[in-house]
Amino acid sequence: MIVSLHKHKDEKERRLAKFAKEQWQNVRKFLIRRYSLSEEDCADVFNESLMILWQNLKENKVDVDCMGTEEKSNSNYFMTICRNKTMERLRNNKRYTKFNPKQDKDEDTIQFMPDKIDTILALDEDYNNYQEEKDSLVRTIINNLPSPCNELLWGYYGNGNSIRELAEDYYKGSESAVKVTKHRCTNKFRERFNIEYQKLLKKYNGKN
Amino acid sequence: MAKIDNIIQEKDLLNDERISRYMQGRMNADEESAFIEELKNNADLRNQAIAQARLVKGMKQVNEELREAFREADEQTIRRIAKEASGSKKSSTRWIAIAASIVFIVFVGFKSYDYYDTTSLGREYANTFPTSTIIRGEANADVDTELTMLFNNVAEGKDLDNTTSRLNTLWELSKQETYNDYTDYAPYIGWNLAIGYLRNYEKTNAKAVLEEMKEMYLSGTIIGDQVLLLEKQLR
Repeated sequence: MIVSLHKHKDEKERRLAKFAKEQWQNVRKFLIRRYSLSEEDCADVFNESLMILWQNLKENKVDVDCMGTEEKSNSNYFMTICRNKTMERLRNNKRYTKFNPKQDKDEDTIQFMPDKIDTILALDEDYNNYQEEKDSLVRTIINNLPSPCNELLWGYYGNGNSIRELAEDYYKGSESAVKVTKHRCTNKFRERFNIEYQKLLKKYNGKN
Repeated sequence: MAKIDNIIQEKDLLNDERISRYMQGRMNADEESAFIEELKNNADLRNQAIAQARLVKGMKQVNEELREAFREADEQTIRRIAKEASGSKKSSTRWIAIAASIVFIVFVGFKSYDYYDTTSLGREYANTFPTSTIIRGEANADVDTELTMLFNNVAEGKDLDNTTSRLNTLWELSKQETYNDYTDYAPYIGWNLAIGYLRNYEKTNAKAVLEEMKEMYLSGTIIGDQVLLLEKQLR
């Protein structure tokens, strides 16, 4: 029982560490490019922002978020905190930038409608079977996506970044490269899911 | 299981875009019902749409799991994770770098001081026994010429590596029990060798030579007293 609790805690910490590591790469790149912050300032902004994210999540402040009524992904929400923290820092240092606040909002962010998602999922012939197991399978695959699928699929389906944004971030502005890679990544995800799901069915049917 | 083709066609990318537009609610009512109809009849399109919908739903769940993990974590854990991700090593590395710099500066400072001290001592004692008083031209002319050159080199601090190397050989020869061309010059060869080492910042070698000389030349003799004096200052 104690071993299981420890394992559970380790797994959660591993997830937090993975999130922090991925976010550090994004935040660092963004803050250096947009605000010309030093490496040290980026680290300070990042550390302070992660604490704010943690506090806000603890106090359930995240869903009533800063930019609108729509719920943000953790990654987008965290980036918003980092931007605000950076602006606060620049103001305190009386350092003015050419930064345009309008540009800095998530204007391009796309939002997927939960009812539409459910409608599509309901078209799955196997929709009513092993729903929880399938969800768990999907989460496992998502948690282990390799690069660049991790960045692209998370960027698009998880954080709602536009194809244009992803192209700027990862493919030197080539939107077609993003579309093709994203398509390949979705296919790989599909392939992986089908393989694992067949294994699952075999396991359950074998038991039955 | 549907076979997944590796060759991506324009149609596939267009379908991706349509699926995405539908999931974002950006289709009008007619377009939407036509699309749903197509999904029901086209297995490839349906499977692609289901995969994308699974990704959206799955990522939402993963996001929620992560929030749960944040809520359960304590402040210390978050601080540690943040520092590890952004390079907590950086701050410790920074301190290590500062400490290393201080040690380096102190070391370089000490070395510089020691260098100055040692070589100055060499310069100070370089003319204790002027070459003209040592070489009187009574022995082998070649020996005299070489020794004059070597002693002058030491006095002027010239070509010290080669000079000390040659003096070291002559020092060994001069100490031999069998009488030779260098025997009479032994105390001055030894002395100049020690001074040459000092001027060349070879303190250990200088000390070793002086130690030997201390054994060989008793106090009360001019050379013996000078050796003791110099050795005392070198400690």
